[in-house]
Amino acid sequence: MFGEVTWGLLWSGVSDKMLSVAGESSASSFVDPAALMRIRSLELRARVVMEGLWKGLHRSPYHGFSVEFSEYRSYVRGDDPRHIDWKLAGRSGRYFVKKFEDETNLRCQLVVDHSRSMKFGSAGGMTKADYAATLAATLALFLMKQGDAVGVTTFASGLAEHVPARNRPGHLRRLMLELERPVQEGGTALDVSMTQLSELLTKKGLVCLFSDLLAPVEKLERQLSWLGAMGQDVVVFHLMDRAEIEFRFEEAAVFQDAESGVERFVNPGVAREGYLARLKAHCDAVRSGCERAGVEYQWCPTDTPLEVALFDFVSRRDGAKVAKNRVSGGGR
Amino acid sequence: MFPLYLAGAAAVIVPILLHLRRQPPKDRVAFSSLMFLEETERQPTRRRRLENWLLLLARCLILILLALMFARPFSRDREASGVEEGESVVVLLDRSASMRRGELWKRGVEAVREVVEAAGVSDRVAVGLFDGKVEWVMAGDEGLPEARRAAVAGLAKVMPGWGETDLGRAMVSGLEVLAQWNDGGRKKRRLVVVSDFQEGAKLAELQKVAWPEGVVAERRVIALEEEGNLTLELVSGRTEEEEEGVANAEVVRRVRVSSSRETQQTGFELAWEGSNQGVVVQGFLPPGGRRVLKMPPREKGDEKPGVLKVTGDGYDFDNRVYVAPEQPREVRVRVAADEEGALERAASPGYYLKRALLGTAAVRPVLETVDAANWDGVTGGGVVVSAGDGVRLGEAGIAAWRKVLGEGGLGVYVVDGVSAEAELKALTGELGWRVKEAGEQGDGAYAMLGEVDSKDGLLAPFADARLKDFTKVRFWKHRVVEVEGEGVKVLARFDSGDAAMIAVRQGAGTLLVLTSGWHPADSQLALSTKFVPLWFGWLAAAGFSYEEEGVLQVGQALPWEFKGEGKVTGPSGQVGVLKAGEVFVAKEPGVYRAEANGGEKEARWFAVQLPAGEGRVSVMAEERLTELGVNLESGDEVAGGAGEVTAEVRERMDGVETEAKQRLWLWTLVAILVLVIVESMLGASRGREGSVA
Repeated sequence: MFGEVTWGLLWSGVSDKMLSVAGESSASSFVDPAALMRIRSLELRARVVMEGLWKGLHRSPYHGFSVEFSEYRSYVRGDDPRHIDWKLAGRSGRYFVKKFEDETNLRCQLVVDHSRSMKFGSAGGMTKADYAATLAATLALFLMKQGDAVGVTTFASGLAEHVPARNRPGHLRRLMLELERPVQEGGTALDVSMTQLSELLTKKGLVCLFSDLLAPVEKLERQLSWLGAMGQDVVVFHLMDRAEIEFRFEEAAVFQDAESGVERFVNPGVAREGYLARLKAHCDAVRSGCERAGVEYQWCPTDTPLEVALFDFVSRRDGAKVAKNRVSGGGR
Repeated sequence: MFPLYLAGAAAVIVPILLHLRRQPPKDRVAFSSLMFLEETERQPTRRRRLENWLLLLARCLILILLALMFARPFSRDREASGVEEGESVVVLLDRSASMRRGELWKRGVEAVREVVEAAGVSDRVAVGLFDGKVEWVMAGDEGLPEARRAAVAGLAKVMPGWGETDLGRAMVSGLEVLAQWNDGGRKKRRLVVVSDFQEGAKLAELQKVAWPEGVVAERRVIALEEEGNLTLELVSGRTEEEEEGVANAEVVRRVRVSSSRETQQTGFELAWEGSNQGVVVQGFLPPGGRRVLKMPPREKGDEKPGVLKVTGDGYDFDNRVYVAPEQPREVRVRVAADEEGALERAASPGYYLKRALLGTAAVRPVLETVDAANWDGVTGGGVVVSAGDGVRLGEAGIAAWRKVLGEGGLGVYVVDGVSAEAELKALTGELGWRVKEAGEQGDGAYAMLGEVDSKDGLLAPFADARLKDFTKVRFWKHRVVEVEGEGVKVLARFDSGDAAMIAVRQGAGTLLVLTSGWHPADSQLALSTKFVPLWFGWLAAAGFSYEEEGVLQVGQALPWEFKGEGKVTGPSGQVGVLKAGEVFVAKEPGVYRAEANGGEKEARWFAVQLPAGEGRVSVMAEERLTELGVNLESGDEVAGGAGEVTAEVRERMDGVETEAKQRLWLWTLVAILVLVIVESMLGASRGREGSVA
């Protein structure tokens, strides 16, 4: 709840119009993802994206938006006197207790797919894994800068690494390290991974899933529904390479499955039509499933500038959360 | 040209095998997931072959044409190649005397056979034998191989002759034949000469012609390993001393011994063949040297032909000199006399005349006395003499004398008194003669010849100042003879001015009038050393002696015109019958005997020698021909030697020339380039067919 409030306060007043203005003014200045990936340091890449994102945000009419928001409550007997904000007491003559950041800020768990299928990429050596890592790192940087707790979980055929959400000095570095880990040799077992994840997430928060979702849709829908039912706010970033989306192959060749190693002779001229139809059906099924599960779905082709992907995400999240707050009256 | 490169065409099997081999797709694409991809059915190999057969064909053709290009192909179809159809070949085989050495002739025939057999059916070939002239044994028709083989086979039965080597004339004849065949200059023309190319060959005729364009001369030298040779030749001409000698001197013959520069031996010997004399001359000659010797005398048998031979080398075809028996010309000298023994009566003019005219190698006077009654039977030319011993000619004698003089004879008339005036007038016709006695000189007095016209032919022997001193000849008596008229010439005068010797032209002959006799009663002339040369000089001037005829050689006609039928007997015993006006050409060296009228009435020996120069057997340098403009084919071809150009080599040379003209390799290269472009286009098209449909 607090996360939702925080998120809503954070983005309050940010209208679609502003975002659209920000989007219009900043699209040409966004860094091409393939060029961005030439920055070898993930943290640096994330900062570059974030800079771009901030610029876009600062061009919005809502200037001076502070991210350093702290929440007070009246002192009641039994509260730890160490938490009394003495400056405020001096000014107001009243005693208020400052809430801890981890009590008032967002908890976000970035769940990144590290299966072998994420190693595919067609544009300038950039893979989906690189895109996912950069997107997650940017989001992590962004959230931690404003006091949110961020954690990272990587998975393939099961959970690989899990770093709980924190916001402490040095935590960001750890997150970057995890995100920088190479993709594992393994297939995608979304259901298993989500099940394991749900057991680890004890507190409600935001779960951002970065994956190509190359798995049966039925199992995914079930696990996402379960996470939603647990009170997690799930956002699915569906990453796909443009070559996968459009199947830009011309020469007949033996295609090899990155995860299973299975090989098939494919004549693109013959197989393209069927492939695209099946892919569309899968993507539609995923979108529908997410919708049914109450999960936010973000379509992320890897040739989309990361800033734009985040803006899209933010704009949808803002609209949804504002509406939710209005319905629920905000806060808890 | 290089058929070995065609083996490279075997590389065409490589693209065929590669094309047929079922190759797995080379491209492998790593893809994220195959969950949306269905496997595409592969096309059958058979269908793939059919689709790519054009590409395979193009690649195969490229490899084949590459091999073909390196092999440098050419077409022997002369029309397509632009080479003139056929070749004109004239082959000349030397059949001169020098080809009698060793195996030369046999090898020459073999060389001719090779050339003829190498000729194609469309070629024109002519074969000729040459020495001093050319004899064609095969005309230049485009004959069948059988005809050519028969002609060449006939050569094997022929032997070389004894003629000289007139190489120039032979080559000019060959050029004439080629010129006759030359229809627009389209044919290749070649003149092949098979010979020993001796240095003694004549080349003068080549200086008279310009070598025609397009004709190539080919030299096939036939040489012996052992080239050393000795030659014996008869030398013509006299030395100055001999010329100065008396007319009745012995005819001196000389021989020349020559040695080629390749001769290893230096010694030689001369000997008369068939004689018991043995070696008559021994000598030494350095290689390339020569010596002139007087012909050694024969011990006996001068009346028979003789053969002088030199020994000291391995080839004796030129080691002989033939000598005809001595055969002086017989001159009938009819002396007017009134008795038969007049020539034996001592102190008579006839006595001294007979002993003076003893005969020489050139002239053999035959004296006979004729009395006044027998002049009617005197016919023909010859010499008539009235010696001035009081014998009168009479009318018959006068008539006979006039006849003899008219036919070119010589009359010697000694004026013995005033009565001779009438006879002189009768002999000479209209000339006015005046004869009177000069009177005796008195005791001890005498006349001498003070003026002698030695420039006249009748006194030619005395042309030398040393010989025309007649002051030692005393004339006791003489008559004063005066004559005027045409054709009269005083040859000598006494110191008194009176004529001593008068020559009168009578018809074709000469009447020589002496105003003093030669017998001791009149003068010392018969007893002097001048008498004999005086008489032989008169005979020579009147044409009653033979000039040195020079050396007769094979191929020359005998210098004797048959006025009637006659025959000539050759050295091998063969007899040739000739008609009037015909001449006989000697074909081999030796001594010939020519007889007119079928008998001994008029016969003569002729010695015919081997042509000069045939003994110079060293091989002439090529430059001697090229200097005369002969377009020699490069390289000297020694028939039977290491450098022999066989038919195979010639065919290869023709192929090189044809290939250079056709340049088919260039068109092959163009075709390869076109095919490469086509192959590239087909290959790209094949790639696109595999991409987006």
